[in-house]
Order: sequence, then structure tokens, then C-alpha cells
Amino acid sequence: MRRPAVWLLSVASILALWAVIAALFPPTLLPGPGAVGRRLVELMVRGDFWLHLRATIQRVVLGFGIAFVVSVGAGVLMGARRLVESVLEPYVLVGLTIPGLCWAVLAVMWFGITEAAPVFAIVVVVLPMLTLNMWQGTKSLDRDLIEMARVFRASRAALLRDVVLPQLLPFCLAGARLGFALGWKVVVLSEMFGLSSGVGYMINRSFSAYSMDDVLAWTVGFTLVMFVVEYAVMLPLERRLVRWRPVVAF
Amino acid sequence: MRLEVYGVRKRFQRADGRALDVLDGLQFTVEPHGFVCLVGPSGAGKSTILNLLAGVLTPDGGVIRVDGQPFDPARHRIGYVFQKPRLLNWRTVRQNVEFALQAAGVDRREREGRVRQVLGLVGLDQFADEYPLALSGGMQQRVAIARALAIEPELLLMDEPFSHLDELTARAQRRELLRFRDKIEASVVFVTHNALEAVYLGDRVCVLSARPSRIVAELPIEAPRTRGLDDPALLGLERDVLRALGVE
Repeated sequence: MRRPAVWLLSVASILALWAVIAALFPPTLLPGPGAVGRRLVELMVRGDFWLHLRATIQRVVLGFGIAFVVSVGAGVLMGARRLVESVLEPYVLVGLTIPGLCWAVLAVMWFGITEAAPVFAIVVVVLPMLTLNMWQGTKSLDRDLIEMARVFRASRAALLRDVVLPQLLPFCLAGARLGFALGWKVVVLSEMFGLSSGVGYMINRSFSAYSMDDVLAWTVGFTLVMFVVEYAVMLPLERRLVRWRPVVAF
Repeated sequence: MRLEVYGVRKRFQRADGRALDVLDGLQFTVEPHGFVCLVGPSGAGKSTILNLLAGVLTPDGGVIRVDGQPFDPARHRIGYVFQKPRLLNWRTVRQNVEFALQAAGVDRREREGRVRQVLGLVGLDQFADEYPLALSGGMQQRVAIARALAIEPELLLMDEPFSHLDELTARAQRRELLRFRDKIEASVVFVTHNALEAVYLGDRVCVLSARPSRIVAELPIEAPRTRGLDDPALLGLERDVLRALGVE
């Protein structure tokens, strides 16, 4: 079977599974994909869906962007310099251990109902994970190639551009996926606790009204957005970056 | 260039803090346009010698001279062919050669011609726009050789460049190397543990002792450049090398 067909079948199986399980429970507890889909369309048409969605995405993009830039610098330095590694390693490990929920609560207590709260929470949660990723990426650089560049007297700029950066790109890509996924989980928490806009806020409101249709419609809506990001941005980017790699099958 | 290595010593610090003497009083000469093969048991510091000549390492004692002057690696064009191709897999064959040319400061207009010339020399002109991983191991190594030749090296360092290839491919490449040997200016230092390869390629063979290494025998190879691998004179020389290595 061709790949797009398999893909469609896979998506359809998720919906079918959902529909089957939903049929076993009353709709107030678990509405089926049909009901949720209709509700989602209503929300989209009504207009404030896009408003809240935009607020949430803006927060994720900003928080993720800051964390990404910092993590590339910190991670590469940790991988390349022993001293930096010794200094930053405890920070990364502590950062990885603290639950995102704690940061979301702390951020709201410190920054109140401002845009700074969710952005701060995203940065501190995502940063250790992304730094770990870039740190490992830098450690896995091929030393033989760096030595080759030295032997041929390549400039520092050429070394970074032609030897180091191409090896780090797959890690940047993995980091972007990881960071986005994590950022989305954190932003929803922050929005639930102390904000008056965003997908998390609307999910919380739907929860207070005990509207299962709405909770799921918001969740599915955001999932669809992440799907679009993955298939419209990440995958084409990845394909472009690794076109030098022959296809492997085993 | 005429390269003279006098009493060179090199010591490394091991992880447990003890010293490891790799070279102790290494001494040999490469004549201008000469081809010296260094043969030695594994661990004899063969790669260390090449890294000293490439300027990646500095000797702890002794002198290296080029045409009578103290050796300054930064002032010479030095080509290096490693055991494995060490290509940039995300760059095309052409771009891999250009990488070395750019590093050597060859200007953009001249690069294109040089790339075409060296890829022609190693028989890869049809593959300039392929990525390395689409090529066989032998072809990848030829790209590495082209990369080293492109900078028109005064000194060409080769570190067991054919040891990772299957025997048929390696044979073909040795023959190729002898074929274009006269078309390049470089003095060559070729490191190997294969005695027959050494006597086949070199016009002088230096045999290294085990660590800490020095030269224990030096054999001039008088056979003509067009020699065949089955030339009985070469087999006799191979036996001499093996005897000096203490194998036979």
C-alpha cells in the first residue's frame, strides 16, 4: 500500500477507536468524534476560537524561541568546553527534575496575570530539555572531521559552517519538535491558573461548566494546529536538510 | 620539498597520568619529489608521525627541517589522506574538494578549474555533483585523495589510505597512485603496515620499531616506477622488510 494511504488509514483508526470507546459511555462523559467535530466547527465559526488560539501560539512561539536560542548557545558550549559543562550541568539536571506544574504556579504567583507568566514558565521548562539535547549533539560531533578541517587549515568560520553546523542541524530539529510539544503542555497549565485568554483558559472554563464537548473540541483544535505545523513546516524542513542521506531500509 | 626529520621525540600523557613514549629519536629524510613509505607494527606511532608533519602535533624534542629551514607547517601546503575518507557527507563531491581549496586560500575563479582537474585525475569527473554516501568506499577514498591533491601540496601525507578497501579495489588504487605520481609535485610520506604495499609504492622504505619507535632499517627501492606487484625483485624486498620488522 502507498504511504499516503497508510497514513490516512492510521488517522482514521484513531477516530474509529475514539468512536468505539465513546459509544460505550454516555455522551456527557465521553462524546464521540462527530459531536466534538461539530462543536469545533461552531467554535471556529464563532470567532473567539482564533483569538484564543492566537494568544496561546504566540506565547508558545515566544517562550520556545527564547529557550531555543539560549539552549543552542549553552548546549554547544557545554559540549565543547569542560569548564562550562561542569558549571551548567547541575542547572540542567535540577531544571529537568522540577515539574512543569510547579513552574506554572510559581510564574503566576510572581508575574500575576501578565504575558510574562506563561512565557517565563515555558522558557524554564523547555530550556533544560533543549540544552540537554544540544549538549549531547555537540558531544557527538565527529572529531575526525574537525581534525580534518584543522589539517587543511580551514578558518573558524568554515569549520562552523561546513563541519559543525550540518552535524548539529538534526539535533536542532529534534529540539524544535520536543520544545514545541513541551511548550504547549506548559502554556495550557499557565493559562488555566492565571490568565484570561488562551486555549488553556477556555478548557478550564469549559471544565467549570462541565461541558465535555468543549473541553475536547479545544483539545482537538489545538492538536490539529500541531499537525499542520509538523506536516507543513517540520517535515519539509527535515527532508530538505537531510537530502544528502541515502534512504535506508532494514 | 626536502624534508628532514632529526631525532624527533614525542611523549603522550596517559589517562592514568603515566607517560607514554611514542617516538624516540626518529630520523629520516624525504628527497624532493620523493616517496617514502613508513612501515611499522600497529601502535608504532605511525599516525603520530604524520600528525607532527601536518602540524597538528609538535615534537617534544628533535628538529624537523624543510629545505634546510626549520619546519613551519603554516607556511607550506600540506595534503593529508586519512585512513577513512573523512568527507563532509552533507556536501557534494565538488564542495568537498572546494572546502580544502577555500581553506588553502585559492580564489573562487581558480577553484572550478582545479576541481575539474583533480576529479579528472582520480577518474571521478562524472560524479562531481553526487553526495559522498551515494558512492562506494573506494570512490569516497578517491574523493579524499582528490581533495588532498587539489591544494597542489608540497607535502602529501597518506595514512594507510587503502587499508579499509577490499583487496581488488586497493590494488587498483595503488596502481592509480603510481600512475599519477609523476604528475604531482609533492614529496610523499606514506604510512602502512603492509610490507608489500610499501615496497610496491615507495622509492624508499623505512621500517619502524615497536613503541617507542625509531627507524630500524632503511631500504632504497630501485625497481622502475612501472613495476608490477608480482615483480620477483619486489617479493625479495618485501622479505627484507618483514625481516626488519622481525616477522620473518
